[in-house]
Formats: sequence, structure tokens, C-alpha cells
Amino acid sequence: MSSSGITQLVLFIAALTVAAGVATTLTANVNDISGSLDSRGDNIVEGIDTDIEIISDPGSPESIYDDTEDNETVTLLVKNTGERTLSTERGVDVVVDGRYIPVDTVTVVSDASAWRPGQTVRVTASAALDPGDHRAVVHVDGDSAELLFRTEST
Amino acid sequence: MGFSTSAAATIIFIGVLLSFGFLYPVVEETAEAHTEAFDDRDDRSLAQRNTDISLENSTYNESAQTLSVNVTNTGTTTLRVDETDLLLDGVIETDSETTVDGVSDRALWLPGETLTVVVDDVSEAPDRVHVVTGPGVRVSTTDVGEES
Repeated sequence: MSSSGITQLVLFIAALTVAAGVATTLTANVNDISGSLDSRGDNIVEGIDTDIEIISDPGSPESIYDDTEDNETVTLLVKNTGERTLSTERGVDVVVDGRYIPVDTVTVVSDASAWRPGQTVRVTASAALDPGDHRAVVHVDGDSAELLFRTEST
Repeated sequence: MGFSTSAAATIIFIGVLLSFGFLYPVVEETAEAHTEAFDDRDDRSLAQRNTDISLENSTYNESAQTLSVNVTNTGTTTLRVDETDLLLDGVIETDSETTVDGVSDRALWLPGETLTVVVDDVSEAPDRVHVVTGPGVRVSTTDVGEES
């Protein structure tokens, strides 16, 4: 009788330990998944709220591409047409003809202190381009805008 | 044996309940934020479709070295003057005076009203005049009239 009681006690403790282990692992994992889901959701919402347009005039290509010797630059005017104030410090990428071009400066054009909705920034990037057709893409926080332009030989 | 099983099942059940308690608010909040973001995007898209402007004329005054551009809001959305950009030969103009229907320093530009932008110190008549509104709707002209 006594040995049967001890066996039952051992089994009881073992069952409780295993159950507690499973429950703890489950809640910890679900908690981690919740955290990840939360940040992923925030990122997606940021992406949906971000909208930009390149407003440079392709009819005036000399304003887009400056072909000064050893100082060739591409200048793009990008308007924030979304809901969020965007950062001019990070996250602005320029790709010309499929090639990543390092951005030199991003400056807000008007007197506004930040790149708020409706405000335009001037993005300058150093790139030497051959005369001909080009495609510039600007990526900001999950949204991108495209501009097709043409550079003339001088 | 019977009691061990019940106790273990109870502990796991509590674990499942707690997990559900962690997960549910996050899923609900995320779904709500997404719905709101999609609604906002639809609104922006609608505003952009309802926006239309027409460039009435642009005149360069050689003696005063000023360029005057008249643009009418022909859409149904109210536009903001400070969000409207003027590009002369592709270069954005930041220093200009604006009037809406003859009233200076107006922030809003309502449907049917005409915005006049006057730029000083323009050394020569531009080839292209390009106007861009806040929602991204743009219009351009190469027809720049000259008066002396």
C-alpha cells in the first residue's frame, strides 16, 4: 500500500513537471510570436502609409542630370504624397538603370523642417551616365517611385 | 494515475489560455491597423483621382524680370498652396509669391479658384513651366508668353 502511494506520488510529480514544462514553452513561444507579429504589422502599416512621387520634369533633362566633368550628379525631386512624415536621414535609396547609387544629400526644398506629407525633397546622388535613356527608381520605407528620363550628349 | 492526468491537463489548459490571451490582442490590433491603413490609402487614391488642375497661362515680363503663372483648380478637392510646387525648366522655385483669386497668403486653394504664382528675378523666359499639386497631380506647358 505504501509503495503504491509512493509510486503514485512520483507519477504525479512527473506529470506535473512535464505539463508545466510544456505550458511554459508554449506560452513563451506564443509571446515571442506575438512580439514579432506586432512589429511586422507595424512595418506593413508604415509601408501602406508611405507614398512618394518623383516630380522632376523629364522634359528638362539638364535639371535631372548634371554632366560636369568628374562631378556627375543625378538630382531628383521627390514629393511625399503619403500619410507619414518621412526621414531624410536614412532609408532613401536611389537605383539608376538597376544600379544602386549612393545618395549624397537629401534636403527639404521648402522652409519646412521635416519631410512632411505634401513636402518635396531634393535628392542628389553621384552617378556618371552615358547619353541615352535611363530609369531612376527611388525607394523610401517600402514604397518606390520611378522616373524615365533621357540624357543628351553634349 | 487519474488525478495526475487531470492535474497535468489543467496546467496545459491554463498554458493554452494564457497563450491565447497573449496572441489575441496583437492579432486584433494588427488587423485593425491594416484596415485603417488600407482605408487611408483608398482615401488618398480617391483624392488624387478627384484632383485636377489646368494651367491657364504663364507670362514672362522681361523688364520686371518676373514670371507669373495662373493655375485653376478644376478638380473637386481642396488643395494646399504650400504643398504646390512650381518647376521652371525642371528647377524647383522656392521663393515665390502666391495669391488665390487675388488674395495673398492664402493656405487653401478651393475648387474653381485660380492660383497665381509670381516668381521674381527670372533672368530669361523658361522653356517649360511645370506645376505639381500636393496629391502629385501635375501639369506642364511650353507656352510661355512674353511681355515687355
